[in-house]
Amino acid sequence: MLSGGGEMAARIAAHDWSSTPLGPIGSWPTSLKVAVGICLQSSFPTAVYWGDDLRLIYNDAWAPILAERHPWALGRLGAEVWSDIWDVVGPQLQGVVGGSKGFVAYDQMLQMRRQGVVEDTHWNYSFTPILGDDGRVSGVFNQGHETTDRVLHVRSQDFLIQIGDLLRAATERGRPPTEVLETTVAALGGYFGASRCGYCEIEDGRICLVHAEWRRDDGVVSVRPGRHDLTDYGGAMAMATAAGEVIVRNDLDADPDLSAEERARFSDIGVAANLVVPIAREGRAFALVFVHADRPRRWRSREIATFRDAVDRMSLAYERALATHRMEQSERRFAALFSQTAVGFAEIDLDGRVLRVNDSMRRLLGRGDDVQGVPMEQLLHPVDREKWRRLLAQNGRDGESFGIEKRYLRPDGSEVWAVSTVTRLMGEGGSPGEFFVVAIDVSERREAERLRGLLVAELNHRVRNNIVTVQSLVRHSRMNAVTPQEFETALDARLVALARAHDLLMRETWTAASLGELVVDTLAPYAAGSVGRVGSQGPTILLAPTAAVTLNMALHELATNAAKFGALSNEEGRVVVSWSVKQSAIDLVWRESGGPIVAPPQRRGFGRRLIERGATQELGGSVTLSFAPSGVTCAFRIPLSHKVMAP
Amino acid sequence: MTDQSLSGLRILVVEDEAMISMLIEDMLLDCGATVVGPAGSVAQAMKALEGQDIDGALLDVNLGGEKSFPVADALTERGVRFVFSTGYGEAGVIDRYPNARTLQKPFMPADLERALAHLAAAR
Repeated sequence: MLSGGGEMAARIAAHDWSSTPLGPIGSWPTSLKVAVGICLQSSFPTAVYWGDDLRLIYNDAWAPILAERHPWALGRLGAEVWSDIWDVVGPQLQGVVGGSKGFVAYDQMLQMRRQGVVEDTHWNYSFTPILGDDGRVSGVFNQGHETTDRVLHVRSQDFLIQIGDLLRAATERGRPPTEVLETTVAALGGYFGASRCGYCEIEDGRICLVHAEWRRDDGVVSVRPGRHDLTDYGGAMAMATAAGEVIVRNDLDADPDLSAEERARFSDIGVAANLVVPIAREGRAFALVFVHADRPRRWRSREIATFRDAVDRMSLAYERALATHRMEQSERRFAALFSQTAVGFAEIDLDGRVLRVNDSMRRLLGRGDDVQGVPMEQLLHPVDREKWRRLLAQNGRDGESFGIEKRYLRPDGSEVWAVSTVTRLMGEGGSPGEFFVVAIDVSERREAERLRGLLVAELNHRVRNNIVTVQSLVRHSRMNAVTPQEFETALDARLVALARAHDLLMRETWTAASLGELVVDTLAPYAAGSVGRVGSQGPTILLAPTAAVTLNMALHELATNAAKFGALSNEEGRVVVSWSVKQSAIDLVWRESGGPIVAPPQRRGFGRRLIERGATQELGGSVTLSFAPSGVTCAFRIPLSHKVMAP
Repeated sequence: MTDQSLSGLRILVVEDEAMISMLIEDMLLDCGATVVGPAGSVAQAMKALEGQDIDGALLDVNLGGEKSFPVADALTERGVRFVFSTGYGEAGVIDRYPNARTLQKPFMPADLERALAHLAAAR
């Protein structure tokens, strides 16, 4: 029976069977001897359970199944040897003993304690009844082998397929990128039967911030809050993690690399075994995925490989999700900008046709949706089309963005100035895509510039004409003066009068001056004496700038003459200026009274010439100047015009 | 200063501002010219042209809001040469009358004399 039975044959021979119900080998029944003989001869893992208490006998091939229980297990009770899995295999064996029919199991899961840890193992095995010499079942013939590796391999394949599906779903448009992390850690937690699984990002090479966490729903505490310093959980592990190495710890409480303090930190958060896969870029970890178990366990190399594979896929999917998310945000920002901004946007295809415009651009163009498909060129003022064509062609050659200030022609015929920047977007594979136009309405600026140009030209004109006027005053003051003193006095007075006219015009920003104010201002120096010495009366009349200057100067000459020879030269004289509007003309009368007896002047001076010239040539009217002995009267009749207005 | 170089010439003066027209009139008289006008508007100038024999003209471009161009056109039609006087510079005039002389205000009597003597010489 024992010959050629290897190591186990020798152990069986040496065993003290007499203290067991089997009795010494010599007394064994034939059926047991035959069964043990077959067992020992078999190269396949084979065992025999014999007797009512199922004593164990096994061959060399079966020994590794026992692991550290070999060779202690020989001759012992099945229930004693397999106390950890007896809840499963006990009833199976009893069934065979009680029924006389065989039993077979495929990939039977057994939670077996090996090397100090309980782990899920899988087995194919059979239990075959052995009939005793008395014809009833006296033992069980067992053959079997472990299938854990194959089962794990299949599970791993299934799991990776499942992860692929989950990641595809999590990276669909509109999903938050963190969904990739949450989904993956939850799947990994389930796959490992873990208590906790999570994703952290690492700052400064050691500080972990948990971004995603899955926990078994039986009171496992969260590690999501706070910042976790890797070095608090073992310096060597922290360094390895930072360098991108995978950390595998089966039993942290017995780990010789950890201090008591570090072990306590793990146990405080319920971690007995862990697995850490860093995610590194250029040899430096910037994130990690961890799996925690709340009791010691052996992490199998196949599981570790699967874990790394899953983390790789997650990491790629997360990058893609972040990029998609950034793009979506950018698209959303752009869409908001496109629709809400006050700046006009237009996209134009390579043929120069409008693809799309925003509301501001529609307003700028004065058009509706019908603008789509219209060549941009047709929207421009004809004068600017050539420039547009030239710049667009230039862009076609060098791809450089360009700016252009141009007019758009609105359907109502009005034009609007806009400053535009035109950029060509890149299409698929770097080929030229559409043009992007950003346009700002600068009509107001253009109009302001035009007005400023007009004002400057007008100012130039007026300043030059004023200089000529002064030139004229100088010449005529000189001609009529006998002494330099007289010349200077006359010129000074005339320049002051000229300046007074300008003051009046300035009040209305050089648009017009009031005749009433002009008369009052001219007479003001003489009004100081006695009440009623000067008087003026008439309706509101507005004078254009040149008319105001001329009339002012004419009144000044009359007043100067009155002060020298007329009503303002004594104490009793009076001057009254009155005017009225009749038949689209003004009758303006300067009347002196109470002055010395008037004698007609000997010669026509500057004043008289100016009065006559101004009234007739400049204002298109007439004037009568009479030197009656009782006083000078000057009667103007001036037609209303754009120079002399009755509002 | 003057040598009566414009002696005998009949010059139409078109200028709306009275004091300026007086100055120009005096300058021309000093040079021996006979002044026609001065006219202060296009209508006055056209009237002055009727039945008058004129050797040349000095036209202010801006006559208080209206341009003197109709007068310039009438003169051109009659083959009478003219000089523009303006406070604006040549822009706006040169486009329309590329051959016209322009006298920018203010000007000295000698400038006026030279410009008009040129007309007389061309005649």
